[in-house]
Amino acid sequence: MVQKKTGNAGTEILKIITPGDKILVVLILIFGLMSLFAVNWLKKPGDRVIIEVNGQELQRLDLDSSQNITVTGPIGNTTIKIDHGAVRVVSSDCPAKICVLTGNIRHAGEIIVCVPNKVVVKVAGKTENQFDVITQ
Amino acid sequence: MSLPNSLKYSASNSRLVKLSLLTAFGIILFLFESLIPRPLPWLKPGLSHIATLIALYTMGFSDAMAVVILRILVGSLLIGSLFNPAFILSLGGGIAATLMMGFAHRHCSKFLSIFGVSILGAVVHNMTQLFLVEILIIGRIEIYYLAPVMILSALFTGFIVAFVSCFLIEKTRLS
Repeated sequence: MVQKKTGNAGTEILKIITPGDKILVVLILIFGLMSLFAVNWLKKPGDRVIIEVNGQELQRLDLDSSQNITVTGPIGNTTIKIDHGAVRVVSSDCPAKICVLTGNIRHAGEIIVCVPNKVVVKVAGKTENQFDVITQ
Repeated sequence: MSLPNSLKYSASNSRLVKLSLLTAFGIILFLFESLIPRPLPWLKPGLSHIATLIALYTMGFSDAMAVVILRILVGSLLIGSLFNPAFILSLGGGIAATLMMGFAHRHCSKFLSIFGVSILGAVVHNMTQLFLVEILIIGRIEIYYLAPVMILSALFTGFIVAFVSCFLIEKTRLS
């Protein structure tokens, strides 16, 4: 069969998209956007910042304050900036800088982890239990 | 009537060659994907599912599953994550996505083209991984806060993967 050459290959491929595909995409889009709103609605604002180095809790700070903290881990320094309700890692001596790229966190339960430098920054909420374990 | 053995085995030989090539292709994409920088560390485009989709559409479900499992085993061995948590996440996500795509390909191909099948696979891949992270690693339901990002990015990556697979199936005329 001789194929007529029309346009480029890309637009040809897009012609195989069926109405079912479009319905599926719209359904998933609606579901995704709804879950986005649901998640934002479920999130509680944080209250405290917990900084852990090497698995040990180092500091517990007020999330509403404004300060810079530098902690030292196994491979160097990690600088954490708390700025009125949001916290982020501003600089770190780790190679991949994933902790810096994570950006600001502000909701209870959110967490920044720097695996190479073993630094964990957590935001804890008001309603969350303050104790790790209660024995009776 | 005596058919020469070479003829008798030829079908299975071509299957073996296709399986090996697709697995190798998947491994290369898997390695490539682990090297390129990503905007968010846990967000991968899932390029290696191009090999899965080609296998599914040109060879069938069981061969697609073989391609996925072999790709993850060998790929993880090469990037040094064999049997660590990242490996379990890859394997769980890959198998779940392939099951979903196989099901959609067999039972829903009246309504869904390769694009719909791929997007379904990507969504299932991402959600399975979130579930595995929750039960195996973090143990906190806050991980599901990432679900919207995972679902919406799956739409995009699923589309790209389907587009490339379709292009390759057409150009190479595998079947």
